[in-house]
Amino acid sequence: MVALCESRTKAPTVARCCLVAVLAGGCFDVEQRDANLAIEPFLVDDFESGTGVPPDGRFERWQCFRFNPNTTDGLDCYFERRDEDDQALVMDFNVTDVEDGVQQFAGAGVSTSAGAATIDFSGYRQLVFSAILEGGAPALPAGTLFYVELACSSVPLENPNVGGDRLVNLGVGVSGATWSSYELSLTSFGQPAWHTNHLVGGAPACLRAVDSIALSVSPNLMDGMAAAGKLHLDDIFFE
Amino acid sequence: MANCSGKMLGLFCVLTLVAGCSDSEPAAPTGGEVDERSYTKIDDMEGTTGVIGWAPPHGSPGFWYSFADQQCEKLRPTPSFLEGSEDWSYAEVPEPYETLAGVTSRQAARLRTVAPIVDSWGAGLRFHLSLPTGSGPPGPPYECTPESLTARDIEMNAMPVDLTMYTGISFWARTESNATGKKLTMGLHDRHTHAAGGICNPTPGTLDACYNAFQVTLPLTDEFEHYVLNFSELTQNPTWGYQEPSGTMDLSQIYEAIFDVNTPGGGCSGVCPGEPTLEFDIWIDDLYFVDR
Repeated sequence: MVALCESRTKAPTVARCCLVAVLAGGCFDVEQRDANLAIEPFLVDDFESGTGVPPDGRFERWQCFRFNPNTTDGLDCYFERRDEDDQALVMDFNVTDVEDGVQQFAGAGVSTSAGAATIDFSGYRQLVFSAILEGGAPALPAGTLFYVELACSSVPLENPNVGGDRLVNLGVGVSGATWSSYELSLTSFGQPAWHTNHLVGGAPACLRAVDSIALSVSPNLMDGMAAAGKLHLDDIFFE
Repeated sequence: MANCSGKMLGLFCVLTLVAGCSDSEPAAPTGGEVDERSYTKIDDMEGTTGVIGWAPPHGSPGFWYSFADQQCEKLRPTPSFLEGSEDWSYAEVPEPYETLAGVTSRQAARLRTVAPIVDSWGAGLRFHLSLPTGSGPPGPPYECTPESLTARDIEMNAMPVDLTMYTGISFWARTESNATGKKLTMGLHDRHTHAAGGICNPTPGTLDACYNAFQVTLPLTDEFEHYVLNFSELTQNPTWGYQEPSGTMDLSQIYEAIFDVNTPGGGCSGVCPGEPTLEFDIWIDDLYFVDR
């Protein structure tokens, strides 16, 4: 038989109770987590290590890539100092929509993969990052979009006989020559509209089994056009 | 006493256990917890030639060799397929120690870098389980490239062996504490993943390329610890190379054992920020099969 004592702390998120064992005449503290307690932010990378490897052991080295066409030409990725104690990732890129009469939606980005591991981000509210996107020469078109993509290769598709990317993404306008912070609600992530073979369980299933994270620039180039720019990224985390 | 926490994927840390050994020198329990397993010796590393002690059911036993597919000159021992390489030798352990009950180890297989390996997947130690009788190692010289080493592997005419009478593999391992690469990947190549199996694609870099072994990665400490792996825990890396659809290693046709150290965070497949580097010094000792 036990009796509940009054709280002895003002900490709002942890209920600290004293349970008195009446029969034994003893008293001891237990910590009880509040059901609404916010989980600790998950740092994807702040790039302070300078290794190019995210601090969570499951994610592998950042890779820089171009897509449509898939190549590493026209890319340079490196670290830069924001100030004495702060370092950021930079991707210099030149992209071209090869002139062939079809718009290819060429772009460039950075990604980190967790390989065979999956990470459950469904308990987080938003993805936060800081960025600068500078135009180069040729300049980035006004319709340039920035995408954050969370892939989930182990989540099945509704039609297993037809291929399809297993990911959710969210586009956001990123621009400006000074650092800005962006907060993307995870409930806004969804499968790209052009994906007709849907994930079983939808976006929530994907958020429960993320195995890679990509951040990319899609300049929405018309056929035969080219653009260049410089993407600066820092402090990517889920909270 | 070893801290047994933190081991992954069904790995058992058994430093405190006593083991029996079926290799004609059964080890008697010496007290404490009793390890019910019995073992068959593969190699105790106490010899001088680098030839594996385990006699395969056919052909000749393989031999230890160091391996990388670039910057081989940064490895010690240097890979035997290189021009001017030294003969294989085991290294004396820092202090003789007891592995299985009553078994004292004085030597181990050691692989280390003498300069950072830059922008590579890594390097490792390997041996085939069965080679054609009297064939001996081919070369040198072979070049330190993926293409050259695949050609060498095919020319060796390695033969598969049936390991279904065993449930796993047991060994001791440690790393020097100042290494950047402190994780050891132990794996096996079966008929699906070895070029000699005729299933995967021997051309390096292809989507269904060979040499994506069934494997498990272990964090090492600077003390020799006993690792016991169940074969069922070994899986392929899902991000590259030939993927066996069943996901299951064919234990009846195993070609080769590998002990690799990978660049932390993986190599760079194209353009990366920073420069991936790898420095390591790993020791592997007293290798046994776990009897079924």
